[in-house]
Amino acid sequence: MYENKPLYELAKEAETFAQRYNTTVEGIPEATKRLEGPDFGMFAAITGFNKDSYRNERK
Amino acid sequence: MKDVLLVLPSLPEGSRNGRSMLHAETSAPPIGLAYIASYLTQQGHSTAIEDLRLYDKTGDGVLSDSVLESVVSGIIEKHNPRFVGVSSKTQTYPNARRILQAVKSVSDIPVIAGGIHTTFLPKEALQDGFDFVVRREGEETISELIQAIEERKDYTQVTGISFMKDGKIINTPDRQYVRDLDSLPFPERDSLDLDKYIQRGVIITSRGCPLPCNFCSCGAFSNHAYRRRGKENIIAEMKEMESKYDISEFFFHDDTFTLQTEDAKALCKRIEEEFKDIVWGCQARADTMEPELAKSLYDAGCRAIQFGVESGNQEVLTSMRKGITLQQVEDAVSYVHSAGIPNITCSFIIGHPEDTEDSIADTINFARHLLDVGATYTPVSLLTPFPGTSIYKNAEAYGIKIVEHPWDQTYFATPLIETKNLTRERLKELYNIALGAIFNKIYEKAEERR
Repeated sequence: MYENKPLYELAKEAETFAQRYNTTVEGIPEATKRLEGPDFGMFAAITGFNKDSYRNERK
Repeated sequence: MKDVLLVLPSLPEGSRNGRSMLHAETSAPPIGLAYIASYLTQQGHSTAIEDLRLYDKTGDGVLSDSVLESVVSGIIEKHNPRFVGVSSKTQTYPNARRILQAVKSVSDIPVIAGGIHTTFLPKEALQDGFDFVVRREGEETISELIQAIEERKDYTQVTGISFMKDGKIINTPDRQYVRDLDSLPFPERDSLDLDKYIQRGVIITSRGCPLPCNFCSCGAFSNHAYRRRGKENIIAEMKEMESKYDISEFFFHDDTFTLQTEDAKALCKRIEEEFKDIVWGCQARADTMEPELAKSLYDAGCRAIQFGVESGNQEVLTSMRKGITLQQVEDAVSYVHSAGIPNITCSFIIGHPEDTEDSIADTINFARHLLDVGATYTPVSLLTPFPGTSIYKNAEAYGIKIVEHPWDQTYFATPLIETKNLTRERLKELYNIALGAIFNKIYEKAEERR
């Protein structure tokens, strides 16, 4: 089993995220567009800032 | 002068500020057009590819209407083509139409529409003024069509096209798919400005999808005909990409790279034997993943993998005919994480016909849970009624009302529907909560790793 938060608690999490990026919950979709880096992106380990570390790991 | 100019439209205005790696649209070269170009070249035609996204210097891939018109005039003057082909998805179709209008304002050459959107809505494209629509996979069809036009033959003999004749729309029968993908030449990468893309090393090892997911049009586009290339043919293309274009980061853009587990393992083995310093990413299905395959992927250089999970509620997952279980997803993430693959994406959709507030909470919680299991990125989208999907064709039967359908906003993040359980406004609110709650956890996990 894993943590199963009710929707109102998940909404609080969303508010926390919005505050981190100085926006409102309504502004979250726009804020996520601006995220870059190794933690945000489908192929970030290959295209991201620290991609060379993953390549070196294989050598 | 070129025989055929192949054009990829710029992105719609709503795509601005999308330069991040979330925004895959601008990061990959148009490999489909490169396949068309290489086939036409093999048939004796000269070709050029213009990706209009690259004319936006901000990197967003967006051009204003006036700039788009000016760019099209410029490329028509530069290439002086005898035919123009424009490939579009639903989101870029309005810009494909603008390109058509811009071409026709300076030239009377035939303009051919292709791609997934016009494959399913050829009538709309013809009524908008396109001279022909090439439906589904285009290599053989566009080649035969050009020959028929040049030799003034009867178009009805060309399978897989749509056109107007005496005010009536003619759809010729669907073309048989290319059975032997190895018979196709490699994509013409010389026609692409590869250095302009984040994903320089895009490659496709299979075509088609046999699966019946009701929210996806990939299966319908291929009539569910799944075909794989031979391993040596794939290795040969990768060798060419490595030696000719200095590519060492590969992106397998197959709908599902791991559809056939044993075949995927065998390909990984060959990649591992032939390439010592490459890394790559692919898309996979959770139900095909097993520890041995996960290790094979890692050993061959896989460092990023994506699973389409779609829902964190089993009943909803079953209703969309995805054919996977939540347990399989959790296991798959665990296997690839244990194998050492560092970048694991699990993507979700909310707003399915059977979704409720509770099932969407389940999805958010499951996405957050997978981040504890080993996933690194779990984005969420809104259900989008793309033409060609069962959802689009049978919306009423699913209890879905398509409230509005501006093509240029038909792209995962715009609420276009309401369901029997959720209004459009509530779906938008739930989407914001889902994104925020999931990304907050991604942020926290990233902080933990630092």
